[in-house]
Amino acid sequence: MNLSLLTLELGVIGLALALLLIDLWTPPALTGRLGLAAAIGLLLILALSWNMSGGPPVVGCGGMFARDGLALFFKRLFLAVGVLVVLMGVEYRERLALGFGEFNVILLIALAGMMFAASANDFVLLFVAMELMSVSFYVLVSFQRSRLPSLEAGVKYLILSALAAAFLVFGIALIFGVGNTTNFAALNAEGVRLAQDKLYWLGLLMVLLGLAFKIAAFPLQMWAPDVYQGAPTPVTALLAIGSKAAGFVLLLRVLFVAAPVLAAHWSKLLMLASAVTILYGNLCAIPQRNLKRLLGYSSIANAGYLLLGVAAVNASGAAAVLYYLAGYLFTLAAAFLVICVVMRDNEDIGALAGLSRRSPLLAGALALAMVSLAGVPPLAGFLGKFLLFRALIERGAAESPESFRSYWLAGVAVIGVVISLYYYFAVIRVMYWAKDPPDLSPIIVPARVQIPLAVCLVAMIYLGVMPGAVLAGATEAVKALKF
Amino acid sequence: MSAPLTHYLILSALLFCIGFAGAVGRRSAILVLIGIELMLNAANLNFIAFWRYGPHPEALTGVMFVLFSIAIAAAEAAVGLALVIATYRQRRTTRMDQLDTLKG
Amino acid sequence: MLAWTILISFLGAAALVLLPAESRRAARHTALLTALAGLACALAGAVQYERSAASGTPVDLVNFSWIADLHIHFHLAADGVSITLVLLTGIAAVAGVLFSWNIERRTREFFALYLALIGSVYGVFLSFDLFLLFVFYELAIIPKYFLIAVWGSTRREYGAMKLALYSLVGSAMVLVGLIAAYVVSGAQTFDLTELAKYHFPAAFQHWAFPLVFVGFAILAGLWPFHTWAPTGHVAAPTAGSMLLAGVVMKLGAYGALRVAMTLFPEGLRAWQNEIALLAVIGIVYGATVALVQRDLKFVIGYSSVSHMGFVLLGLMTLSKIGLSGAVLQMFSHGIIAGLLFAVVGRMVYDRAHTRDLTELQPMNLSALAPFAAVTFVIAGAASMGLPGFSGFIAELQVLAGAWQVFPRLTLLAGVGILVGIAFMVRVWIKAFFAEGDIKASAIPIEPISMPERAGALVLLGTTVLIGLWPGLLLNLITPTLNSTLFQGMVKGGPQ
Repeated sequence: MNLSLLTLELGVIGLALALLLIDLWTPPALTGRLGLAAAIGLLLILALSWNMSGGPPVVGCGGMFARDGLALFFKRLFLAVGVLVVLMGVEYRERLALGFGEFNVILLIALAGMMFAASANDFVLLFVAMELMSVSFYVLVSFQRSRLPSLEAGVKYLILSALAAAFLVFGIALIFGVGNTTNFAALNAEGVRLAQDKLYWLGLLMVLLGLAFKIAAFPLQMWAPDVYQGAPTPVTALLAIGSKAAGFVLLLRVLFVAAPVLAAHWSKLLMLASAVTILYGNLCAIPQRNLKRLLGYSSIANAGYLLLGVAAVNASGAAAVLYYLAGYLFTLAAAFLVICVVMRDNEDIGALAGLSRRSPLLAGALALAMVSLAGVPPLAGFLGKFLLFRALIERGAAESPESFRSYWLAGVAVIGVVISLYYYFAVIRVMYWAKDPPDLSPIIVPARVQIPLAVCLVAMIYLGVMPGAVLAGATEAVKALKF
Repeated sequence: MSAPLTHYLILSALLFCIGFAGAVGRRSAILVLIGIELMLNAANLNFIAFWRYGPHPEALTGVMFVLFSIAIAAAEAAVGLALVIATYRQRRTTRMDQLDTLKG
Repeated sequence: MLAWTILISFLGAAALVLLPAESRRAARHTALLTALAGLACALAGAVQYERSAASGTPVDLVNFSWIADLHIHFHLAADGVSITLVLLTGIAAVAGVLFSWNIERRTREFFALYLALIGSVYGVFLSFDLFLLFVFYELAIIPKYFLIAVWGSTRREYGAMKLALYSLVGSAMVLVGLIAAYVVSGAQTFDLTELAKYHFPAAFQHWAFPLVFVGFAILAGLWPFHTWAPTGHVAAPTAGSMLLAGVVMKLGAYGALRVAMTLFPEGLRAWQNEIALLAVIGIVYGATVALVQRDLKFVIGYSSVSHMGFVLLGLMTLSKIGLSGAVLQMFSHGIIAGLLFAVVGRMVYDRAHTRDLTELQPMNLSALAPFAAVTFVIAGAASMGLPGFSGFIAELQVLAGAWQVFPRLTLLAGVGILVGIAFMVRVWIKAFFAEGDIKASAIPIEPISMPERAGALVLLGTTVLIGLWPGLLLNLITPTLNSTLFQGMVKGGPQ
């Protein structure tokens, strides 16, 4: 057992345990500092991750744990989300009633689960990492025990997540039964033989179903709006970014490390799921008035876009998924930071009226986030969608370049993008040009929100205008996958 | 070793279906949780059967997975029951269809 | 020199954002200075281009690698066609600022969005990398939407959203076509000149051409996708309508010519007749509907659809005379429609508070606002295509080109011109020269201000100048049509 492989994960868990201990001796008035300390700790671990880059891919811990470019890319992503969400939590702490210290600890544990997921090279680790995440999320979602929406969201999340987990475990059992191993590399080595066994297909299908829940894709997407709406805002942010990204890294690993032989056959199936997800998310988002719920539907639609990259079954598709997630991280983090500060007890879009005069910074940030989500250049969201479309069209061209039929999914995705413009622009209009806003008192934005917000904005624009570096990183990272 | 592998698989598939029917069909949160536990245990049974009848029973992958699965299911059940109780305190019900504050 | 137009506009927009919110005067002056500087750069660039390269080949302005992994370059270049449209943008921008002088509500934000729109438009006209072109094209959607949704009038939110959605549908179609071209060509480049060299398979061109062409032409008001145009024009504030009709519709026509027709000549030939038919339907339909409208802005809005039909018809002739007529018509319509919207929106509506022809009838505007009446009469004459104005030479060229390819359609288009004369005469009589019952002194009316006069004179001067001396622009356009980029599409046509 090579513990140095696990440095980052151990760092996060160590940080969580240290916080748990320090919390015992911290007076309640100072718990805010604890959150800041957690953020700084995560930043240090993030800095440490650059020390680990380079070098050939390593597989350790009995073949379960892979440390390659893909894992490192996602771990950095998770750590960045972690920093932003912990800072969001500090802003949110008065609304949590009790146990801000424990809130941070469980948040870090969920983060550790995601980081393990990024390295999963075995169905055992996949399952354990996913459940580490899920169980932490059950608690986090229902953390506001006195608020019924929070509890209700927790119950719904738990039941549907457990249901998805049951499918996942059953699927893993079938795969184990046919392949006699749960190791991704070993399964891939026998790929051609296993592909002849229908039971193996069924097992893998059930695993995909379990993962579809995590990324909020059809047919297991219905939980997202309810849970996003009911959960405390920082938890919603972590669910929307971290949990989705973890789902995607697992999906990429299962499809393109464990079963690349089958992945090509399933392109059509994935395309179908992606098309339905995109249309469902965008169409249902139109009438929404609660901003968090709207972002829940938008998150479903985005899961659909991301699935395009997976369905393309090529390296540029996987790289596009990574790039899109990086842009999505900063976009959504900015949006949720603003929600955290502005929407204290009213999450209706109408509560944003007059925000441009109450706080130009917050209004500008949310506006940019919406524009980026709508996929308008020159922001991160546009380039992400562009890359996904490119991968998809490459796939279509590889099948038959001249026929229009091979590009149908791009058409569906494009329709989704057009629909989404409608509800994203509505948010911007309320902030800047609502008639007679009821409340015009200026909002004072503390530095602990200003700084992460500024980082998000700069990152959104940087990723849209100068995508070179991150794109190269993503392209390098997906070399761990086989197509 | 009297019963062949297929018997175990049929039993586990049946259990899984019964659990699924319970999880989807029942309205009480507790019964839904029980249904899900049934599904998880069906999967565990499958695992053990495959491991026992497989070519490498000396590698303990199957048992290990089932141990993890049981432990995780226990954690899930603990959190789940706690949530149901907390909800009951507020709402005086454990029926899923009466939890309807979140909609849009 | 030309590349500065883009930078100056965006810098102007940024400067406006940084101004304090209350300083309306400073905002107006900044906007005017920025627009003038852009126009000066455009003029200087045009003169420079005409002196240096008589052959009409594209001249590189800026070219550096932008996204290396995707082989995307920040490539700006100009030829006669793009310079013509850059000049149009410069003139329309200056006039638009002058006609927005009276905006009191959020002046700073208005002009910031306005300049951002102008900058994106310059960007589209000068991009020779198709990815870059697309980025500028999409970038224009945001300011367009908010200019209408916030500062507009009749049903502004509906009009703004309709315009935004139509633009986005169009640009999405374009995007799919562009990426398909990028992938299928195997060249892995978005550079226009590189892609134009590649011979795409015929089956591919047969669907890619209509996809990209219609995607762009939606914004050019191609019938039956024109319905955004009347509602958008009516909803927009005066400067917004001026830019929509004057410049934004040209984005569509320019994109159709520069991208769809250049890359897919075979697809173009396959669909030539169908699109020409749609264009002529647009000409006749737009003019006929304009004839029965009561709202003055709707009249001008539908007349725009009709005039843009000439542009599309000219493009479909695939002959040099027709193409140069189409480009000239883009310029000419940009100026004339801008002027008409300025008179209707700023001079009439802001003073009489109505645009309804039956309500305007008794007001006797020619006596109340003689300057407005005279301007409108001249602009209307230009719009009819009377000799001496820029529209005459443009429509003549289009019809001459079309006569050789589609004689029957050309006759129909001629009918469209006659209807065009009819609706303009109707507007003259009803809006300005009806014998009114209300005495001129009965309604206090604010006199036409200096900025308005200046803006009207700029536009009037331009249309007369080009009308009398079309060589100024044709010397830019005609040599360009001989260049390699246009060879593919012109080759098959007559001449």
